[in-house]
Amino acid sequence: MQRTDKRIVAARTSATPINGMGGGTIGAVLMTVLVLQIFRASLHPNPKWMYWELSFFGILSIGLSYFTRKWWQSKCLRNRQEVSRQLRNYGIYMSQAGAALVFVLFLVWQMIARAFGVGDANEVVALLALQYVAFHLALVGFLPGCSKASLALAGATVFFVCCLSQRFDISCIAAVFSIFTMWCLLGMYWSRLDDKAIDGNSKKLPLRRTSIAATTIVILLAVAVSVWLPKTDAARALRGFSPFSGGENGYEDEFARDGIGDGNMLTGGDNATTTGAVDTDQFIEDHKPSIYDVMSEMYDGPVFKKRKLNRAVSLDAKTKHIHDLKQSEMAGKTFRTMRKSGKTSDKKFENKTTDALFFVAGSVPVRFAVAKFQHFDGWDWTATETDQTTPKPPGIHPKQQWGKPFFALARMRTRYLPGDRAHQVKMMRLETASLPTTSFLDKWHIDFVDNADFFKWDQHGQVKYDGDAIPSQTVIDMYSFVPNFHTMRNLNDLRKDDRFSSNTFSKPANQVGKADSPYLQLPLNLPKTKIDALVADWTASIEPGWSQVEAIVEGVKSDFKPANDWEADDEIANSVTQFIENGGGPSYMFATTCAMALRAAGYQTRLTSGFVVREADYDRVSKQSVVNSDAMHLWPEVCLDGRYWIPVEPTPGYPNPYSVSTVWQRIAAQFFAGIRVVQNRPITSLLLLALVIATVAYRLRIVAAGWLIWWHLVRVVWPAGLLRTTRGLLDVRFWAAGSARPASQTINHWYSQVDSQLPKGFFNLWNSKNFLDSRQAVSNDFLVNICREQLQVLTVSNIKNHFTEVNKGKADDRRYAS
Amino acid sequence: MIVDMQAESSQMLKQLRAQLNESLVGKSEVIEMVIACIFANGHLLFDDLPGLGKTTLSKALANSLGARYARAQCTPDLLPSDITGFNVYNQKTQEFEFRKGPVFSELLLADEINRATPRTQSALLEAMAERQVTVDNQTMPLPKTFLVIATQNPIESHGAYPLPEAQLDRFSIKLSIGYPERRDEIEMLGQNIGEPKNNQNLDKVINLDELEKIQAEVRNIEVKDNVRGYLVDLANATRDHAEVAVGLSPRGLIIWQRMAQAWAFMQGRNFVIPDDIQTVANPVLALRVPGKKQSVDRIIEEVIRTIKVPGN
Repeated sequence: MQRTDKRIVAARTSATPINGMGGGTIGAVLMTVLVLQIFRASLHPNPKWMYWELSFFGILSIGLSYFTRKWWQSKCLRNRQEVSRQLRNYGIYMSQAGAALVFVLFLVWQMIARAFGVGDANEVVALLALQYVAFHLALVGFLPGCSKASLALAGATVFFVCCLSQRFDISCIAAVFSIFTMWCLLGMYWSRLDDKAIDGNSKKLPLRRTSIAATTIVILLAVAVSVWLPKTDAARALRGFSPFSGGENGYEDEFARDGIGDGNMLTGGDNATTTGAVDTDQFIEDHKPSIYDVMSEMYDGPVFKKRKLNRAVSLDAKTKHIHDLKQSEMAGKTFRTMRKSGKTSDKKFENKTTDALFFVAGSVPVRFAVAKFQHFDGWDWTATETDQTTPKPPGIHPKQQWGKPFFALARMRTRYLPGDRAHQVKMMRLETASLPTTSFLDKWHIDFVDNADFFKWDQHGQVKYDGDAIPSQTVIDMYSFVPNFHTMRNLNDLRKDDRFSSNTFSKPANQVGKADSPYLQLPLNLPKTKIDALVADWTASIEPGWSQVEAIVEGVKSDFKPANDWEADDEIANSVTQFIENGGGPSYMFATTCAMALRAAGYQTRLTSGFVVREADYDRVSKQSVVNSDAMHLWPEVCLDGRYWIPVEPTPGYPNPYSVSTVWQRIAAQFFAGIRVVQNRPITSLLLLALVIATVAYRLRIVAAGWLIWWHLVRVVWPAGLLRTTRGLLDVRFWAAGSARPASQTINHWYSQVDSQLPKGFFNLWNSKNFLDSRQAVSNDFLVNICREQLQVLTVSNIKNHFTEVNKGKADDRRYAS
Repeated sequence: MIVDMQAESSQMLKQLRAQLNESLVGKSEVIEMVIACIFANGHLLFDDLPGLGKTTLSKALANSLGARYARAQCTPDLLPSDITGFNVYNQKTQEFEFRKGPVFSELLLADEINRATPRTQSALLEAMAERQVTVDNQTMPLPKTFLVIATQNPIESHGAYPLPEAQLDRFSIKLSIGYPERRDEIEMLGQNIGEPKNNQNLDKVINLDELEKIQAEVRNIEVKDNVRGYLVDLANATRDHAEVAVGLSPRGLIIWQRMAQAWAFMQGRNFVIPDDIQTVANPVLALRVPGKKQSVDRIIEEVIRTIKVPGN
């Protein structure tokens, strides 16, 4: 076999249909602008300001590039010719000066914007500066080296935006950008090769199949990485290096709007000061509702059956005064008439108020539990006092760490809890004795508090302050473990993670609790058959364990719709039945139904009320998340291994409980998710695959067809431009056929290669339009006919056949000669 | 726009082509370029091996134009006066009489010009550039259509004096005829069986007045700014080329434009397009780019490839 047979001959054409890469670079930079502005729009307080800024710097760069082009043309009179070293240096200086001007003006602009309170965070400013410089360099791409520099800057900008953003649309545009930029770079590379070769010579790149395969794999991997992998971790990692997160050690930027650090700066709240409000209003409630009922304004108060009341309960003024005094004493806020001497502040007193229940510093989303419920009677959840609080809560032990007093829970970290994170909570209006605790709490610290009796477990499984309420403005540092859901899925039966036990587990994972455990009880009036059927449907062919729990949670989340117009129907035996029959309901019913389903499946479950803190709750002024009554939420917690209560989130629209995962776990998850998509939609996947293959196989013809559509559009809308559009279309067809016309070749010469008897009307019109001062006007019909005539002859197939024959003849000649 | 070339001119051009093609078989491209050179009022240098039809073509051309034809066989002992003419003392009239040399013709064939000494070669400079001859301080004009066709043999270097750049620049184009194709040679052999053809019997298809008129028309062919810019860019490219010591001179640039105008005229156009410039580039630049033919061809290719054509 001859050597040439082992090779694939690459397309004998340039990488781009039209000679010159200026348009390509500008296109790539415009994509960069799109990516960055999408990212920025989600953070910017005033989008109108953004548009003004974009307009101003766009016009500035276009104006600068116009004058630069004029100057350059006057200097060298030609664009394509090699220029002297001195002129080249002048060109480089000119481009640098323009870029520096844009850069400095942008910084000034940002300073002004910050003065008006509409600035961007530091890292966004840096990216925007890169973007504007790249845009300017793209516009002056005719100067030496500017196109490459512009592409490099654009690439860097897109890369960092992808690292900072988790948006799917940004990832998609970035993927398109990567491919487009690769194409542009190939075009540049080809242009350099093309410049070295003589026209008419055979231009072929001998490529081996292995090289093509390797390159394709690298490109696909890069696209996959840019689309899927690095989002969360990269963003988190980069926050540590950028002074924008508003919570890291050192500089904190007041214009930071995304993220509040990873909590590594929270090492104890020394000398915590406060500016928050002091609120002493008592709350009187005769039904003793849950904290959810008190705080949530979303669904109004709880519905109770009407009871016959003979009189209203109220407090007179004297009783209220005594109550206020008592509350004040309990909070340690007695007022003394003796005051410290010393200088008084010149600052005037200001009334500072807040609606916040508490403030949180640390990464979000995060959820804080304040109450647990075990018993459900069909309508009401109650925290019954029972001894059967299995699993038994771990002991609370005071200890010293980093020279500070800590309260630590005496339990071992399991394999599925590999991560750590810290939060700082500052109590404000949340008047409760329950310590707002993060899931998987490990230890907490309150400055100067080291008495072991201060905190204890209540009989519902919640840490409580040994008093009526944790005093307002108390600062609590919390350290907790972070689960890895992938590891939990792999383990499935989490009891197997007990490295200190050699139990052989006679019971399956879904019957770990005692039969009489309060966490497995279902109300008698519950539609157990229906729930069992649903659970069986959701967990079919899934092994008992964490996977089943996830399946049930997903089932509740996907099979029911949120609805706020929820009214209790007395005729229905219980709220779960009503929820199932209605096909949805309010958020707390998702949690209730999910808890019932989990119990029905044999998993110990309880309901937890508390707060879900999201990124939207972060306040850039106070540099912490503000938690108010809107953050109230309920969710189930399930216990699989007898040690940890694991939160789950069945309510649509709420963030899933925080977890970490390794890179390989995410890769595997994406891979298997892809396989599942293919399995679930085989026909769609096949059609999609066929479409992709067809698109790749006929990509050149598709581009040519696109140009033909454009040609028809021009024919109808703007016939005056038809001649040039026809020439463009013919160039694209030659490119698609593998014989792109070099910039130094005239259309007469290049097109006539295919057929020396080509109709001359098109050439005559083209030549007279371009090279004759006094040309005659032609009618649109005549012009269209002339152009159409040329297009009918010079089809991609005809061009391809011609050059195939020519190349074949040359190959025969070479073979004959050898 | 296609120019409405006068039917008369078109007919003449057609006849001239036919007649010359009959004289030199299978070399239509060379003949086209020769005609363009005549229409551009330029001088022609054939650089080729002996026996390829240089003289035949020259004679055919002279007869077709009805021009007074003179031939100077250049040798090392050829004197300038042998070209220009000299004064002879007439004993009868007791006066010096000027005897015109072969330069006083309408078509001068300087055969193997590189065998003449530089001194003799230089005798042609004034005649070619200014179409006049000065002998003994007496200047005599030459016909406006005066045409020099010179030949040289690139192989033999012994006893040869390469033409200096100044002399070369007076020529418009340099052509190589090259060997004919096989089928053309067969036809040529067929034509030479029996009574050999005599170029002296060729019909005169254009007289010199008509030729002068055509040359004037050629000079008026339009060359738009962007095409002129393209031409200048090409000239600069020859000057900037690493392998070219001396690039195209302004005189060479004017000749290139004139050749492109002539070519456009022959295509029936009244304006020049970049194709015209590229078509005549090789014969025009071959004179002005030193080196062997292969390297010269490559350099010309590179020069053309470097510059983007206007109107793209």
